[in-house]
Order: sequence, then structure tokens, then C-alpha cells
Amino acid sequence: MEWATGVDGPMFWLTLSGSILATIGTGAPLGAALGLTGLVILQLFANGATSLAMDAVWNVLTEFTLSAIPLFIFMGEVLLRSGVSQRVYRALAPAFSRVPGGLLHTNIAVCTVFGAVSGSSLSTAAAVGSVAYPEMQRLGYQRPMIVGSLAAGGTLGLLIPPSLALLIYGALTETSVGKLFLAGILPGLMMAALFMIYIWLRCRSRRDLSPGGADALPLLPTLLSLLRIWPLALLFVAVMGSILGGIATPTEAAGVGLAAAIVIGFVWGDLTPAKLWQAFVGSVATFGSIGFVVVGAVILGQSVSILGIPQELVRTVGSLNLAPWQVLALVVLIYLVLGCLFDGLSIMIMTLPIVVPLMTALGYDPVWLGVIITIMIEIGMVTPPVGLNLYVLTAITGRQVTPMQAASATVPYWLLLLLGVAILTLAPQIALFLPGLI
Amino acid sequence: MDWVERGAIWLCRLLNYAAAVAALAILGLVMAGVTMRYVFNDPLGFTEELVGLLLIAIVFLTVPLGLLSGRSIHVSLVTQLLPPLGRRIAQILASLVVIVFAGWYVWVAYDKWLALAFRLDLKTEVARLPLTPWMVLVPAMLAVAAAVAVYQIVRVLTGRPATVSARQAGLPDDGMGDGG
Repeated sequence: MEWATGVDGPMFWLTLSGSILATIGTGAPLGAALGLTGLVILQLFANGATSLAMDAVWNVLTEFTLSAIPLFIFMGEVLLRSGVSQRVYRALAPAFSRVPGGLLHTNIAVCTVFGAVSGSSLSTAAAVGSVAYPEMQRLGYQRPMIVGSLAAGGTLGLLIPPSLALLIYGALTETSVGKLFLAGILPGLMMAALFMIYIWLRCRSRRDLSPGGADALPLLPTLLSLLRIWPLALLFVAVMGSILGGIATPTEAAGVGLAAAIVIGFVWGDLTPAKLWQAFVGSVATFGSIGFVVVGAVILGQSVSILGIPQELVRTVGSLNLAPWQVLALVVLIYLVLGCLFDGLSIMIMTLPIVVPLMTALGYDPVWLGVIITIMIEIGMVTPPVGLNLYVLTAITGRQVTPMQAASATVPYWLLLLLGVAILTLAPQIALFLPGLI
Repeated sequence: MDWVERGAIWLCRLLNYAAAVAALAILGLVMAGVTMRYVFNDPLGFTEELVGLLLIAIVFLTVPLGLLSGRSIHVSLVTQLLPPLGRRIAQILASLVVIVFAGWYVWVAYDKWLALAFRLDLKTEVARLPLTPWMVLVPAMLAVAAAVAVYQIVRVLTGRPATVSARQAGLPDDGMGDGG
């Protein structure tokens, strides 16, 4: 029964899907569930070549480029615990006081700035949310509306460089991290603009949603107040400039950025040695949870790669005579479904071994694809029941806003993120223009 | 809190602290590497390799506490829908998945992977740093993870939650622990 036990037979697909569903369904750690599935496949379908899994895990996790990930996580955590987000918020609050939507715009703007130095969606949402929510609630903003804007704004942290998602994508697909970071800038700003346009339109017709903001200042003092966030601007320029200028590797830039964030935290914020140690202890736990998923995904990826599944899939899709955009639409749909089940970075790590060869074989640019996949996992961050941004923010509100209320307030932003994917598909140059300059 | 619980929490926290120290070491190494390369024009030959080894050490050192504190990324979509008894059975099955995975990995590592590494006395390519101590760390930490999973089954069978609180685990309680 060769047909049934080969990789193109039903036994393989039954084993793959059955093992994944059975192990993940128990609530087991994703790393263990994926890893066990990979080992089972290697044992049954690759002549018991399970030791290949050890080599794959070792080779990926000792990769120097990946070491930028914990450093960027620490940078976001240090900035979060330094209270610098409060200073940024105060500096940017007067800028939008005259616009319908007021501080809701400030949320998006501060998330954009914080995203430019943090790299993580959760850190961004948590840092800005913990400052913005109490203030906006006191001023009488509608609570779900506040949470919706913060959840959406938080996703910008993952797209605007430095970005953990783009870094992982670059490291696992051997795509230039510098080009990926550059490619995230304009789409990130575009998404921030789309969010602000939506807030403006919504609040113009319903004034009760945003009762007003900080005291309006004349133009010059407003611009001067923006200058107060110069340390973060300097941090962004130092990190991004050194990568893009080819001066430093992403890891070196992250290291220098972290050191600078620590200095900024002590001098400009209220960082203490105890808070710094807590930031490190919490950060390694966060990185470890991502790293364990990488372990499992690498084993599974190795098992499907050695059996030639991605190439098989490319051939199968090719034989279906689907247009590239139809395949893209299918991939987007799959990411939307996965976004209901898994957290964003896990989806990315799990799907890259299949999706990247498939899409690049269809002619899609790997840098552009990195941006699209990042937006898709951003959507996952605000998709219930797993959307982590929603949970972090409902925790920040002290459960005054339920996850479902937060999710329904986030639906318009969810649609805007999808619109962003459509715009980038129609005009890929938005993402590829800046990388094309280097 | 019995002595087994105290011991398990203490061990997992200690490993997490070791990971935090490794993270600080990465920062120090990267900064030293940058300084030597750009200020003294004399790059350190071992930075990249040692940073890579510290990186894999962090990942595996943090696995036990991730399990014990429930911070490991997991999908709770199905289990949340279950009644209390079904949830406890699922927790036991989840721990069994960890035990089988970790046990299998340790066995293959011991039987093939490490045996070969010790026989060849593997070293890094550039700085010739010995690899075997770092390689041993991987199955060793997975063995600890399997032990934690066994302990979690005992906890569930004795009517206690499988995981400990963020405070007990010495982690910041920021609501990020159980969203997976």
C-alpha cells in the first residue's frame, strides 16, 4: 500500500493533521505539540531520521541574527517599565486636541512612535494602554472605543521597525532584515493614517465618543512639545540608522539600542535597578515562550521539508491553474482562520516553511511577502478568542471592558488591516519603494 | 506549600534567573564586540558564536518555568469549553504530550546526537569553543521540563491547578501569561 503511506498518500496528511489537532487540542504548549508531530512524521515517513530534528533546532537557535529578538524584547520591556510612554503621551496629546477624536488619535500616534522603538505589539499596547486608558476614562471617552484604538495601535509595533515579526521572518527565510525593516515603514505609516481617518470619520458624526482631549495649544508650543520626545527619536535613528546604513548587524543595533534604552530609562524615565532586573527576568520568560514555539516549528518544518512537502504543494497549486492573486487570497483566508486559533508569531513561525516557497514560486517578492504576513499576524493579534492585544488591554482596564467588547470595538480596525493588505497587493511599491533605494 | 512545590518553583526560577544572566551576558558581549570593532578596529572573534550558544541556552533554560507558570504559548480554545473534569483530563493529556515530546527528544539526543558530538569533540568553527557542554544543556533542560510535567500531573490529580501564579513564579503579573 505504497500510495497510502507515502507523503502524497492519505496516511501522511491524516498523521499530520490528526497529530497537530490532537496535541494542540489538549492545551499542550505549542512547542511540544508541534515538535512531537514533527518527530512522529520523521519516525514514520523519513525512516526514523529523528536526529535531524536536533540538528535543525541547534542550527536555527544558534543563529546570530536571531539573537536580536531577545534584545529587542528587552528594549521594549525596559522602555515599558521606565515610564517613558507617559512622557511621550503628554508630549503628543496637545497635537490632536482640535481634531474630532482627540486623544484617540494620540493613541495611534504614540503607538506609532513607541512601535518605532519597541518591536513588539504587546509591549506597545501595554505601554501606551497603561498610560492612556486611565486618563481617557477620566475625560469620559467611550471605554470600548479607547480599547479598540489601543489594540489597533498596538499592532503597529509589529509592523513599524524594528519589528520582531520581520526579524523572525528575515532570520527564518534568509531575507535581508534591513530591507524588511525599510519595507515596514511606509505600510506602518499608511496603517496609522487609515486608523486615524477612521477615528476622525467616526467621531465627527458621533461627538459623544470623544468628549475632547488635552488642552489645546497654539501651533508653536505644540511643535515644541513634540521636541520633548527627542530621546526616543534618537533611539530610533541609532537603531534603524545603523542597520540601514550597513554599519551594524541587527543584533549589534539591538544591543546598542537596549543599552541606550537603559540609559534613557534611568536618565529620562523612572527606571531603577530592581525594575531593570524584573524587565530582564520577564523578558527572558517571554522570549523563552516564543523560542519554545520555534523549537517545535523547526522540528515540524524540518520534517515536512525533508519530505518535499513545500515543493509538492507548489506543484499541486501549479496544477490547479490558479492565478497568483487567488493563491494569495487563499493564504490570507488561511491566516485569518489561524488567527482565531493561534497567536501571531506562532502562526508565522509555523507557516513560513510552506507559505514562503509557495508564494515566491508564484513570483511574489519575499520582502513584500514579509510585510503582508506581518499584517496578517497583526490581524491575529486583535482577533478573538486568541488576540493577545485584547487580553492585555482588558487586563489594563481592570476588566471594565470585556474581551468581547474590545473585540467588537476592534472590528473596524480589523477591516482596515485587511484593506491595508488589499492596498499593498494593488500597490506593492508602497512596501518595496524604500528597500529599492538600498 | 509542600517541599516538592517549593523545590520545583525554586529550581524553575533559578533556571530562569540563569537565562536572565545569559541575556545580560549577550548584551555585554554584543556591546564589547561593537566597541572592539568600531572603536579599536579589533573585532572579537568569538562574539557571534558565543552569543548563539547563549541564545539557545536561554530558550531551553526558560522552558521549565514556562510550563510551571503556564506562560508557554498554548491554545486554550478547546479546553475552555470543557467542564471542570474534562479540563483536568485535558491538563493531564497536555502534560503527557510534553513528557512524550521531551522524553523522545532526550532519548534521541542521548542515543545519537550527543554520542556523535562527544566522539568528534565538536567545537565552533571560528573560536573553537567546545560545543558539547552547550549541547548537553538542551536534553538536560527538556528532562527537567518532563519532570515538571510529571509534577503537574500530580498537582492535577491532587486537585490543585497545574500551574503556579505569576507571583510564585517570580514573574511580572502583566496579563500576558494566559492569552495563548
